[in-house]
Order: sequence, then structure tokens, then C-alpha cells
Amino acid sequence: MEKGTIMKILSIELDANWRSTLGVIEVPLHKVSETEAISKKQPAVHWYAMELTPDTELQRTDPNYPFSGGTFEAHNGDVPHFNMQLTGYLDSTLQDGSTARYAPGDLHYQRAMALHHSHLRSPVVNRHLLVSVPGSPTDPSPLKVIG
Amino acid sequence: MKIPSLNTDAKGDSYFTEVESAAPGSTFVGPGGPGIRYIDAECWQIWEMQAGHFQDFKPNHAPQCLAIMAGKLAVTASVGETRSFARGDMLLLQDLHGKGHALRAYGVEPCTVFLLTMKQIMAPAYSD
Repeated sequence: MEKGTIMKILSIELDANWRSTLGVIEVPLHKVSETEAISKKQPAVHWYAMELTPDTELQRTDPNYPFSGGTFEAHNGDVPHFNMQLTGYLDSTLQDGSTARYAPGDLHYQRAMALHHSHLRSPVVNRHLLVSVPGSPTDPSPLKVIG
Repeated sequence: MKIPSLNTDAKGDSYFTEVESAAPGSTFVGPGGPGIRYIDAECWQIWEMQAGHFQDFKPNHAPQCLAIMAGKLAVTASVGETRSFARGDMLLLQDLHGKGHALRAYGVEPCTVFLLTMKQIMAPAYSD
């Protein structure tokens, strides 16, 4: 297949001190025809859909922020996986201080061991598609993309 | 949460139905918690179609789950029904034989799809 464009996907990565930071994964697309391109097959383990009710419309800095664990709560995502926002939106804060908002259609990759805080500020139900890829919850290796 | 699914009937026609993504009445409590329906996957791909791309009727080679990242996609079943999908929508292509379905990407931007190939057809109801 002829080489086409590069698709860029946001990812939660780790810096040299294992602090979470926003990164980008590049996925090469190969031309199938003048109007179609596709990446090579990349291994996956399983997928599932989940639904989460909105938690609060308060900002994280609000003293009444009710999220369990509080303003500075952070968790990792267990096994390495992709998270695609289907409905609602999610503010994800990382240890580098950045916050990224994910809206319907947005896809991001979550590396194992990368801590983040998830704020479901959306007034509507959050629906997500999660896709696990090979790897363990304690292996912080970056995603290998077959080009 | 119900996901649209394109399946094949006994006459070889494709038609839209729905599959349930979780156990009926359950609420999500965390990874591995009740209600989650894990579907074995073989691989993921990114698939991009320019607006105007058309694929004529043919069955799918394997059961696949599509999640639309950008653009718009119209899928036509052989019984005549056409459904449109856009950002954040999911659908299953599970018509592995018979007349198949047609696809058309439309709108003003490329249609980008997060494409998952599954190991087996996803049954309509949760049965674990």
C-alpha cells in the first residue's frame, strides 16, 4: 500500500521522572484508493463501553469540589488503553499541570502508570469506548505503532 | 447503552438491529465491575475516507466495531434503510455474508473511523 498521511492522536505519556504529560502518537495511514486510507492492523485485547453520570459543575479549585479524593486526586488507567469520548465531555488533568478537554469523537491513549484526574463536568451523561491493548498495568512502555 | 448493529437475516439481507453494551439495569462501578461487557478484539486501525467516498454493497469480512472520530458516514442496509453516523457514534458491522451493505462518506471533511476488528459476532443480549 502507498504511504499516505499521518494521523495524530493525543496521549497521556510519562516524562523522565514518570510524571504524566500530554503527548502525541503518530499512526501512519496507507492509501487504499484516491478517497480512502487505513493504518496497518495494531493488536488489541478487548473493548467495552461505559456510562458515567456527571459528577459536578464546580471547578476543581472550588473549596466545595466534591469529587472523591478531592482536588488533587489522581489515578492511573490500569492496563494501557484507548479512551474515546462518545457523549458528554471530560476534563483530564495531568501532573505537568495541563488540562485537556475531550469531546465526542476525541480519541486519546492512556499509557500504563500515567496518573491523571478526570473531571466529568458535562451536564449530560459521559459515554466512553475503551479499548485495551497488550501490556500490563505496571509496564510504562510507550505504545508501539506498526507503520 | 444500545449500539446499532448491521446483521444478516436468513434470506441474506442486511438489516439494522441493536446490541446491548452492558447487563440490563446495571450501572457502571469501575473496571471489572458489574455491567461491563468485555468484547474480545483482534486489532485496531484508523480508517479515513474523503467526503464522497462510496463503497458498493458487499458483506463485511469480519465482525467490526466502528467509532466515528470525525466527519459523517451513511450506511445502507440491503433492506433499504440508510442510517447516518457522526462524531461520537458507534456501530457494528456484523453482516458477514449475503448482500452486505453500502457506505458513503459525506459532508465537508474526511470521515475518520476508529476501527476495531472483533474475534466473534456480538450477540444482541448480555449473557455472561
